[in-house]
Amino acid sequence: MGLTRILYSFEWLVSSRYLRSRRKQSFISIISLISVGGVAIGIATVILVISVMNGFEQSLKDKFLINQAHVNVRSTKGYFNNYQEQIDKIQGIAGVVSASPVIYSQLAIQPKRSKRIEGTIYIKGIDPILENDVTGFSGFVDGSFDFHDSALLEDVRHRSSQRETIKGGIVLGSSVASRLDINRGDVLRLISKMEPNPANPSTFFADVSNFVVIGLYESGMFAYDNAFGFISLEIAQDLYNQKNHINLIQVRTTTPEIASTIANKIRREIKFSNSGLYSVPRTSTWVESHAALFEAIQLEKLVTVIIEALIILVASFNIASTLIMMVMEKTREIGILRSMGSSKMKILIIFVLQGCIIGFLGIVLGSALGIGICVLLALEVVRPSRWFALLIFVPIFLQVAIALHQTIRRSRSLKFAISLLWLGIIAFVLYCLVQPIQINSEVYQLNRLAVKIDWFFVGVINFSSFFICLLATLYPAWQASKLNPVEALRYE
Amino acid sequence: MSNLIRVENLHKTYVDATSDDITTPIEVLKGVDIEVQQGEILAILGKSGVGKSTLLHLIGGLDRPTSGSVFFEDRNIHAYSDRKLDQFRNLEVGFIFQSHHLLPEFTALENIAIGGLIARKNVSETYSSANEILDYVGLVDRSNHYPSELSGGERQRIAIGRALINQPKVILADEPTGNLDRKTSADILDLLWDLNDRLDRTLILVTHDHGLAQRTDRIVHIVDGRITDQNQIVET
Ligand SMILES: Nc1ncnc2c1ncn2[C@@H]1O[C@H](COP(=O)(O)OP(=O)(O)OP(=O)(O)O)[C@@H](O)[C@H]1O
Ligand SMILES: [Mg+2]
Repeated sequence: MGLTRILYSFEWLVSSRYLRSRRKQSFISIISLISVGGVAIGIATVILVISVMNGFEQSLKDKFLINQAHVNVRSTKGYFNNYQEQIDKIQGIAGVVSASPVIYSQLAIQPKRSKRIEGTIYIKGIDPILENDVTGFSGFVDGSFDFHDSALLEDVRHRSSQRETIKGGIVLGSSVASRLDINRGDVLRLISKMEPNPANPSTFFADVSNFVVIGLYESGMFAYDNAFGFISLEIAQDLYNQKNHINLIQVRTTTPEIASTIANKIRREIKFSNSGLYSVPRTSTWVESHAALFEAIQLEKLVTVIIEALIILVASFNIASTLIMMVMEKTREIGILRSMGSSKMKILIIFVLQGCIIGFLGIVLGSALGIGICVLLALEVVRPSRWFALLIFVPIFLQVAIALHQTIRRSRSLKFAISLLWLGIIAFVLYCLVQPIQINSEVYQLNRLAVKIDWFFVGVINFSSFFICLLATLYPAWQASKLNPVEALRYE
Repeated sequence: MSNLIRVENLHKTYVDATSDDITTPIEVLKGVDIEVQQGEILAILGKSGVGKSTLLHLIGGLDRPTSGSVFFEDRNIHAYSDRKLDQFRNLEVGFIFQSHHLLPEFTALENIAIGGLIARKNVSETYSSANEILDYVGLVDRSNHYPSELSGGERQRIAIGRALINQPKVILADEPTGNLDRKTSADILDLLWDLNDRLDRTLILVTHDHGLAQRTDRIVHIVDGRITDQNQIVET
């Protein structure tokens, strides 16, 4: 009822007609078209940019979460004992799915073929079964992860000399492996410490252990794949002379969001005994471990939103200037309408409506464009050749032909068909051109630009943009409404 | 005959702020008194720039006087609020201007109907009465044409039709034939007289044309901002 009243009202009739303006004033209708375009492009970029950033953040989170513990628990003083008791306690906390013991440290590495130390990697001593419950470890290993009893291990033991003892198997980060040109079955030396040579104190013994690479770990997160190796928990304890000690408990919670709540509970309920003293554990959640990154993303989003808000603002200025011109152009008509008894309010509404129509069309088109491109960026379908995009020339030719033969301009249905054709062709061209974007995984930790549309945000952007457009109409509309009718009639 | 319109001691002074910083008030109307009977045709004569259009606008409620009052059916319209005055213009008055002042974006039919839409009358009824009016002014076959596609005389007919849509009691015409040739003028005037005759509309006509003025029921002259002897014809 309300809507039909608006659609049949005098104000609607006049404002929509003025936007479509005929002939002499076709200048105005081109300007209003440009204003629509301004709003549309603003909205489309906002949606696109924010969706890409959301997608980036989300896929980073997903990536972090597939191979990371939600909460890490450490003692304040290095290693701690009777960890099984603590793990049981932690597992008793509501919201905790599982907890696993780890010895975590950094070791120098040297491939057997190489003559020098090739840098350091983080070595996690783990119980593969428990680790799997917390971080989904097994899903990322290409090869075996049975550190003690592997066919590969036996094979290497047979081949190597008697003097070389093989400590066990190691699962090596795939990027480390390719960087050092190591394959499964190769031997890698881990240097755990240096001790002064009692005979000659200026030289050192290196405590070197040999490990056979039994599997490669590939999570897709370059920072991990390029920095980690996994060995058995017992072997690690042996390596550091820390029998029955660990220095890290990894915890998986039911959902990643509750990680910090669980961390607080753990700090309240767990006390580690440490050389007789009890200490509160240190905890860090997955968010805290990447705090800098997430804060950076958040800041970047904020800056983007501000810039986009400015784009919309510019678009709304565009609407305002279009309307100001329209008011000038229509001054005499405003006088006529006033002489026929339309109130100031009606004149005001006419121009507010025009601005709102421009804003609304821009928002609808922009949202369609932005969402469309987002969907296409995420769509894994083989597209027609990019050459098909040249179909864009079909409607252009048609329009030129029509412009040359002004006679057909009267045909409304033809005009409608041409607009539909334009829409269809533009959609098809976008379909051909917009494809998922590959990105450099070493820089971005991800190998594909992800897109995530936040519908709530789209709604908020649409609403606030419409509101801004509405505000932009007020000044010109008010100018129009306060024109003196007699002077307006006199206006040439 | 009853008094439809009574103008009492009407003053209008323009304070022209556009020329220089010193504002020089232009006193156009200096106490105008007129009475107009229901069903009458009144001619207002006067030299150019004497304030005929100004007076017509004040009678029709398009502008506010500096002082004085205009009574329409014994109610002082300039005591009305702006909104009430808008409504008055919409329903009780029909303006016809020298240059047709049609809306270029609207068809002949729509130009006529728009006053009814402003009054928020039923849309389809408004359009059907607009059609009747179009028939009355003899342009029913041009209903979908835009003003730019009509001749001067046809445009003025549409303008007359537009003034009729809300069946106003009074038609205010400001040199309605000023832009037309003799033959077309005659047709337009016939139409206006017919309005008066058959529809009993009161007609106030501003004109330079003495010949035309002679055909009216009564003539008033404006000289120096006042009405002079109402039946005397001053040669200009
Ligand atoms: N807004 C205004 N500001 C200042 N002066 C004005 C304004 N409007 C009209 N005038 C002056 O008021 C006087 C009367 O103008 P008006 O249009 O009523 O004359 P008119 O009798 O209708 O003349 P014409 O026969 O040429 O149409 C003129 O001198 C005009 O310059
Ligand atoms: Mg005049």
